[in-house]
Amino acid sequence: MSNLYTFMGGIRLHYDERERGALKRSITVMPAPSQIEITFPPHGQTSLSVGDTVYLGQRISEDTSVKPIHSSVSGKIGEVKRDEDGYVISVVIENDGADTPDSSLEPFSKKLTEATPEGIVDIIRNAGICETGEGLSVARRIEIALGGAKRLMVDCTECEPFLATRGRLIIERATDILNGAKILLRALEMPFADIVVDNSDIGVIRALEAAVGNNPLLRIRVADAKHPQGDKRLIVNAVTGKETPVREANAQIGYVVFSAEACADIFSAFSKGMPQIRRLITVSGDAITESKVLDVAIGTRVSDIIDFCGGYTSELNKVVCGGLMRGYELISYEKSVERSDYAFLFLTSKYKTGSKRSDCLRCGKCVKNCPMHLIPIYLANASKKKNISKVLAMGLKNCIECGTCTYNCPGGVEHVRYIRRAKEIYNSNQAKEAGDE
Amino acid sequence: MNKSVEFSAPHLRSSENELLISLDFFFAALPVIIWSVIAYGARPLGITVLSMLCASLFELVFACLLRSRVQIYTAALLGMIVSFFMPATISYWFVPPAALIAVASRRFTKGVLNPISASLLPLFLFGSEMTAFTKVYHKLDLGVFSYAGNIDEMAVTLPVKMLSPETTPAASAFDVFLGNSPESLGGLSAALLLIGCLYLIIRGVISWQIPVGFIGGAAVIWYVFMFDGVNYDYAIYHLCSGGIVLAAVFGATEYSSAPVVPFGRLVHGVGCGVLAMVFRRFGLYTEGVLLAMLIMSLFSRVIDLVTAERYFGYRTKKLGERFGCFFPKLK
Repeated sequence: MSNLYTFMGGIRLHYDERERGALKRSITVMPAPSQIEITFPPHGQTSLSVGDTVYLGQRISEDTSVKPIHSSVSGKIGEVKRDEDGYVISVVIENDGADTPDSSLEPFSKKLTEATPEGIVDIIRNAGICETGEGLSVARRIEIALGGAKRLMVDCTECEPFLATRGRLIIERATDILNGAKILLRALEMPFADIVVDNSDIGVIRALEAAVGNNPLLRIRVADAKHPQGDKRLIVNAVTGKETPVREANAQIGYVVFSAEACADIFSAFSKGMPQIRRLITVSGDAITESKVLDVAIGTRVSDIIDFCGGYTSELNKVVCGGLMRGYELISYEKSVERSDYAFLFLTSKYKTGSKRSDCLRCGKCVKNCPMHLIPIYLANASKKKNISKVLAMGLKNCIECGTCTYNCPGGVEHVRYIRRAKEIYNSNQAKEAGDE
Repeated sequence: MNKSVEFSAPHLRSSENELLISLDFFFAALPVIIWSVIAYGARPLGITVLSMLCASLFELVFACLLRSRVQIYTAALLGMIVSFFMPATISYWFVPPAALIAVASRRFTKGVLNPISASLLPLFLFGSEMTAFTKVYHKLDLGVFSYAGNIDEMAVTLPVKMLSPETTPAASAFDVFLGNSPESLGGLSAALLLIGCLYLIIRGVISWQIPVGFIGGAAVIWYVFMFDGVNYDYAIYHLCSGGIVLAAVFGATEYSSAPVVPFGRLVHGVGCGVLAMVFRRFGLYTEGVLLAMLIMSLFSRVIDLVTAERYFGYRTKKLGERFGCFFPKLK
């Protein structure tokens, strides 16, 4: 515990908001509402149609999809929303309240030592386990790392204010996480796994230590609670000191990182046969009457969550989906919970952002704290002038959009906004060129 | 889809703002201002206050012209620093033009020209206003608008100017260090300036690279090149005199003209120090430092891009990437 792992740069955020309750209360299970809307991954297709009966945990996307998605309730399909190319955007399911499980689901009946790595990957892929944030699915990442894995890390860090998802998961369901880690150890054929936890809350560390005990397979590493410790590259850097370049995935160089929720879901896929159909969501902020961590069915709408939590106060200014540093603002309460969501924050105007007139003082604070060693202000200036080749030359692709630069800036420059704009222009240019060929 | 129109993360900001930074600079400079009042009477205070007011006024005008945010605290700070480089006998007529050029060069050239140098170097053309120094502890009147022609009986040569193999200066190096010998307003006491520098570094307002690079570079260039046969006290004398230390702490660290990257700041500091000492060796005592800062600030953007750190995960930054920003088609 005396050895804190960390990376260069980053910033410490204030954690007073965490004390206000979500971390202190136990997880509340929210029953699925009468209607849920499950969002499909891009280019999704389904073979079901309106009126079909679905069961709890039944796969509703077609068999060849890379990230299969499953129904979180049993009931009938109410509507299939498609976009103009014919791909499915989302599927609305009417809940019949019975929660009848799909008959084809069964727990993993063999012993873990008899399972092959490919078999484990198959089960994980069929369970459709994905992590928060975009990127490859868990199964794909294990596949890439099969045979060449050097280190396995379980990410139990949570360094942002208000968030308590991983904290409560560790305090209440630590054994699920650790069993999932053991399954991954078997798949990757590694001798031990690193459990990386940050030192922002001592209760979380104690719970983890109590669950791990003297297990030789699992080693706890305590990291300094700096944002953005949750980024996968920075976890690898903090624990091993190695840096992954942007053009490669971590898994390609042999360092695999999985989040705590993914491990817990892997364990439930093996022990109960259930795919990923529920998520832990922190509902918090300073404009909500009671902040808590909810266990919701994927597809639950935000309006139902608000009703379940007792509503918000009158000072509500905006709702953010995600954390304070990386989340996006919601413009409609009809959004449904996806697999990549982990928090909804109801914020007063104390967290208002967006100043059109801002000027760089050239103080250098953004450069000092950037974990990717970039010069954020130059990226932002070049992006404002729409000089995309210059932004690329300065390392646009390396930016992880953690927001540390904007957080620190005394002049109020919004680096992340301009960098994101440059990325969008670059991506659309690439898509146009790919479409022309 | 359900995402908002303009991405507005992060939704949290630290409590840093421009006012706090300017206040930190002000507190660091407070001992210097107080000492200048002790040494020269109330006139230095008049010059500093006038400079700050003029700079703030011009900043309001320029910010409205450019339609950008008014950075009034930074401008007041710039006015204060500009006044530190002036002698206490300077006439009040010189102060508003200096403040005007300083704020204009900060706003319009975006720091490519060091504002302090750009505003003070032209003043050297006007007779000997900038080089007239008087005895310390000889009180100067606040209300006199111009000392031109009146200071002959009070005038004193700068001790640094008297350093040569033949003559020895009137004051010892220690006296110069403490602040008992004539110098510009802010450069009187190197000791107080160093205390201010330490405060700024601890508060995180300045990075250590520029002051250390400046003074270190100036010292090393002197010792290494052992300028023809003068005793080694030369270097110590120059370093103890306030001009070098003032430029190191307040002049070269001026935000708009310094590089942003840490290693680039070290290069900038060392370059300024080396150039300042070279100019001083060849006779430009008061203006040498200003000229050094001006020359180095011309290259601050280039230094930034060349000394930028390697990207996360790459062993070095390739040559094409370092210069790719200037020649995008090479990439």
